[in-house]
Amino acid sequence: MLTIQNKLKSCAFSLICFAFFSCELEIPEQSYNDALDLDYNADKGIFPPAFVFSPDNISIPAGSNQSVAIYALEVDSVGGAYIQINYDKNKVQINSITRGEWLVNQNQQPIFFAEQNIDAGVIDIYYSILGSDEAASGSGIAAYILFSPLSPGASTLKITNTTNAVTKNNEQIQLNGLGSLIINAQ
Amino acid sequence: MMQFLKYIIFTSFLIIRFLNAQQTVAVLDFEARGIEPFEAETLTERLRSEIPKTKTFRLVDRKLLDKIIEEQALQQSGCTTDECAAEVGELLGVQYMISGAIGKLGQTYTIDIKLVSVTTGAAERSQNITFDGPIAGMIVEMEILAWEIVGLNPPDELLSKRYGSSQQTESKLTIAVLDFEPRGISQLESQTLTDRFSTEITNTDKAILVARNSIGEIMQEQGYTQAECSSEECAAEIGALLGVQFMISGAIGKLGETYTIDAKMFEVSTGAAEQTISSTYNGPVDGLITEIEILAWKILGLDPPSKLTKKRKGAVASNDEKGKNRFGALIRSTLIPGWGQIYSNKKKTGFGFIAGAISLGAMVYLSHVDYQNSFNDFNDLYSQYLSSSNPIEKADFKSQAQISHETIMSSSDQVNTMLYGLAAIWIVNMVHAVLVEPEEDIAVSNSDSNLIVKKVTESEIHAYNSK
Repeated sequence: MLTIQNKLKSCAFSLICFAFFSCELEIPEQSYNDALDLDYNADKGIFPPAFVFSPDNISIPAGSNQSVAIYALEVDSVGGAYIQINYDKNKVQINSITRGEWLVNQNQQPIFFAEQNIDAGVIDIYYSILGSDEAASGSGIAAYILFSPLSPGASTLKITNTTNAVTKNNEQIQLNGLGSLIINAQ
Repeated sequence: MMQFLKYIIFTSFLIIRFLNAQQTVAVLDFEARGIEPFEAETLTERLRSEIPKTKTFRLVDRKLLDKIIEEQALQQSGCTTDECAAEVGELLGVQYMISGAIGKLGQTYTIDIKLVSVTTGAAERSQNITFDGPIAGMIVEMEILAWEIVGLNPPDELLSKRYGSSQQTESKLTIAVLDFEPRGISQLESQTLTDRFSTEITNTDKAILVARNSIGEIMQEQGYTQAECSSEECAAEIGALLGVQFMISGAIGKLGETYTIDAKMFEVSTGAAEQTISSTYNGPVDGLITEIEILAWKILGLDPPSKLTKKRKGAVASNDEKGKNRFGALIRSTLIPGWGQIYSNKKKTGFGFIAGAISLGAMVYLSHVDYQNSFNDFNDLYSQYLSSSNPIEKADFKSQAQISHETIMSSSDQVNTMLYGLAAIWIVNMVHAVLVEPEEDIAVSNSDSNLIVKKVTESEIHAYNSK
């Protein structure tokens, strides 16, 4: 049987060991999967110029409202753009589509309008710079879409291949990537 | 008429049976130690007169006792041993004998009383009382003892008559001091120092000391000499026979010019060491007297008076009741690496551990500062990366955040490595503190002495003493 002194000795050793070996420092988590991260998009085969969703993956309860942005990634010298989005009308309800800050600056206010064909499950978004306004360049939010999943399960909002962008001279801009949004409704 | 006669005969028979049923006892005159013999006789007489009141024993007339004693050419007060008492008792035809001694130590009186069975020759019961006050107060004490020795509680009226300053033995310790074993000094020197030690024990006024001759007598009876009785078992046996609570034994050694005094007080009933004390002294031999006087106070857990400490000569190497031990070293080393080694007088090792721990501690601190800075940078850059809407900016924040993250990882690794190193030093220091036997301090108490103080380890002293 251990004496009190031996017990105290064991305690002292254990305490020191515990004190030192429980001193692990915190290492912060890092996750670079932002929709505007070029490397992240490159991993998915999306390269600028491109239109993508941000965020591109979302989990929400069925029936709740959620807003996502459609980003234009380094789409330069734009005179006009057409973005078409497909969705499953039985699973997702689109509540509203609003303009983003893309191509807006002190000198110009591009024409923006959006249409929704609920029966087909299609959203059409139009951008156009008219008259003497200069063609705009860069990245930014093209539109915000407020939606709500109708029932639990997975569904997708996908930017279709008919999406295109043109220069002021009506020349096609080669888009190298079109993103999609995965919705996991619970 | 016949009925009446029958009643008388029956009653007489019962009375005779009752008288016969009561055991008989005789009381020998108590031995006078430091008081006048007539005082001892007077006090014994009071005990005799109290015994019949207890209605436990039938007391044999003193004249009969005197006659037997005279026939045997003995002196009552000289018949102090149990064997002698039993012999006289046998001649008297009693079952029990009561004998005792009344002593005076300073202003304190002691009464020791024994009830000896004549049949077995052994002490059936013993009692002692220590009394502080005028000798007249001893009368009541003797009356009380008369009840206590027959195994009864004294009546309250008797207890209330006690002299105000009377004290029971519990308030003072009863102690017997065996001659300290001489090791490298003469028997005479050792005895002289033991006497001085005993005198000082009495001066503390916290203990009642059994006279040296009483110890000698007991030892003689048991067939021991003081030199032979050096073991704890023997000392405990003698202590039990003396009826003391504690025994003190010890040794005085000489190692070169250094004197060592080791004393141990242990409880007779349990044999457990109550107090162990040792002193190492370097100086003129007469200075040992003061040292041993100081030890007399310390062994009773008392602070020696300042007049005694001022008298000290030479250098005292150690005077530690408990002494240093490995556990004390471990506790210190657990708290601060190296402290236990310094406590154990392994100063170089101790400072080595401290330096090692401080160096590693400083490196841990610096690495932690790097870690913390990188951590803060990373948090800033990562939140900027997440909030930025410009892919180019975002890429820039990302690369910077990744660099900070790498710095965090490397700083964290460094901190952990250093911490493991520090833990290893800490544990090694603790193990070392446990394994290494502590050495006693040298504390020079009087610089007037020109003697060279030697550092003597406890193990060296014990090794020397065992020789």
